Amino acid sequence: MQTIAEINICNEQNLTDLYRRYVGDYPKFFKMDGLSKLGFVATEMLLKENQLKLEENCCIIFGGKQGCISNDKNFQTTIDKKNYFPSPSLFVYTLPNIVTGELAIRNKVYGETMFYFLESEEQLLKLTELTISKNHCKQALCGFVDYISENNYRAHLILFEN
Amino acid sequence: MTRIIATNILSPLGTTTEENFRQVLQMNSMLRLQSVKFQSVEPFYASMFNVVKCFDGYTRFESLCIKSAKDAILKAEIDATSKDTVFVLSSTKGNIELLETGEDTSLLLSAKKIAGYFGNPNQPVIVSNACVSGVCAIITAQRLLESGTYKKVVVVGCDVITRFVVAGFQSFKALSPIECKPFDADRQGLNLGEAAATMILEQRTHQPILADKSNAILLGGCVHNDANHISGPSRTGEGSYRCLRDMQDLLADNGFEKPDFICLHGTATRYNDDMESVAIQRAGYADIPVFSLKGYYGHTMGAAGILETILSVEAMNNDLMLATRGLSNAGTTEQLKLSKKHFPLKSSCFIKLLSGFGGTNAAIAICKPLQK
Repeated sequence: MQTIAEINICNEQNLTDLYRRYVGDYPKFFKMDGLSKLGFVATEMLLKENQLKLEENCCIIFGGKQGCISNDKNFQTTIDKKNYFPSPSLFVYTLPNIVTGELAIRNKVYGETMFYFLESEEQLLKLTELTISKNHCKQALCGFVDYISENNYRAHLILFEN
Repeated sequence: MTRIIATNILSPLGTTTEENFRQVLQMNSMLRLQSVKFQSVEPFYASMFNVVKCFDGYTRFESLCIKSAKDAILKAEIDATSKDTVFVLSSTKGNIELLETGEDTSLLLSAKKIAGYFGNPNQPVIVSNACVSGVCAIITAQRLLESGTYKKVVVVGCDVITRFVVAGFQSFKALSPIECKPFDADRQGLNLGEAAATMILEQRTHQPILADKSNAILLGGCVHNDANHISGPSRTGEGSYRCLRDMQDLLADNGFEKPDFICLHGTATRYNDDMESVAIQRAGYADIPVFSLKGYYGHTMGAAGILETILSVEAMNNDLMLATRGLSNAGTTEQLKLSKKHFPLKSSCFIKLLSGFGGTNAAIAICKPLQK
């Protein structure tokens, strides 16, 4: 498993600014929850800065400590007992693996997409290695992502090749 | 060779795999209209536990996981405190109802508590991959075994029905106002269900024990994305089709011409069931018997992949093809080989297929022990 490219993003960088600078033509970005925005922008930057493309069978293996907790809290506010208007557009993002689905759609990737709750990046790297060797896939995008709030997020993405 | 050495299903229908299988054979279900269950939430059909006796300091979700794992661990006679044993937990929302009181909903914390109950020293692995989580947890377990990372894996899947989840599915208009009717022309959506299910896997190089009836061999599995939509399945069944194609190759590599039956997702939503029929047709499996178990249990979310695989193993080992409860008149884009009654079917292997939000699809192939 060989590292091809790598990127780090944290809350010192504004995600909408990064979107405008690196993408600009994918309005669906504005509908995404924080975790998906983070994973999306990080992947776009990683690919553009290194002039890379994800292969059709690329595995997208993401993990983190908090999953979609920020959006879970947002959805919870829409089901307040006094003010009950559950939002379907928020509900869909109450699954942490949605970010991997967003990346699959954007990059036309039909490979494995997976989300793990993990304590450490080391565990995620180990699972990514097992995924690559088992699937005989050439490429894996591994992302350790956490989006706790607007002011507290970080992503570390690595693109591996076998 | 990855072997299933013990299983448990804890559901409103029973507390063991055997009890649950008997209930399925009798076509029973605990799907009931749940009125005034949660404040502001409209009445809904679901299969729910009446009372769950919780362990001290553990939530309802964690207690169900522990009860299910406990039974399977006892049956498997494994040492859960060994450093060679690990827990893999499958759940979509875990303790999400704790958000209402501002408590920690972390699945990491829950998994540690569950593994800790059994004195297990290893960091548990948690799979949260929407509705396909259960099958993905089994796939991850196999990878951990084949790589020699661990010798035994306890795979536990569970989700409970909360205000959060019901409100969400209702806002999606995905819940059926009646008992769900998988693959039926008049299907109106899904029912939710509560359950915990456990499967204990081990890696063996030699032949399995002859007397152990419940064991089966996990040949392998795969995951594919539709790359189409985050909340709706692909019309062409792309991800599910790719999963079936992979399983076809895997079965062929192991000397099986085709699966004897396929346990489908069959949620009874219009889109899912049509999508699966298209994927089956594309894979050339139109003549393979298929069924859905949602009419017995509802959609048990994080438990579904494990619970439905366990019941499929029982069906295979008893040479039975299971009926799709709730089905009256089949009506999907492509025709499927469904049955309203159980019938004898000599089986040696099967495929379990699942799909879910995020465009994710997963499948595993399982066979009987090679020599019985």
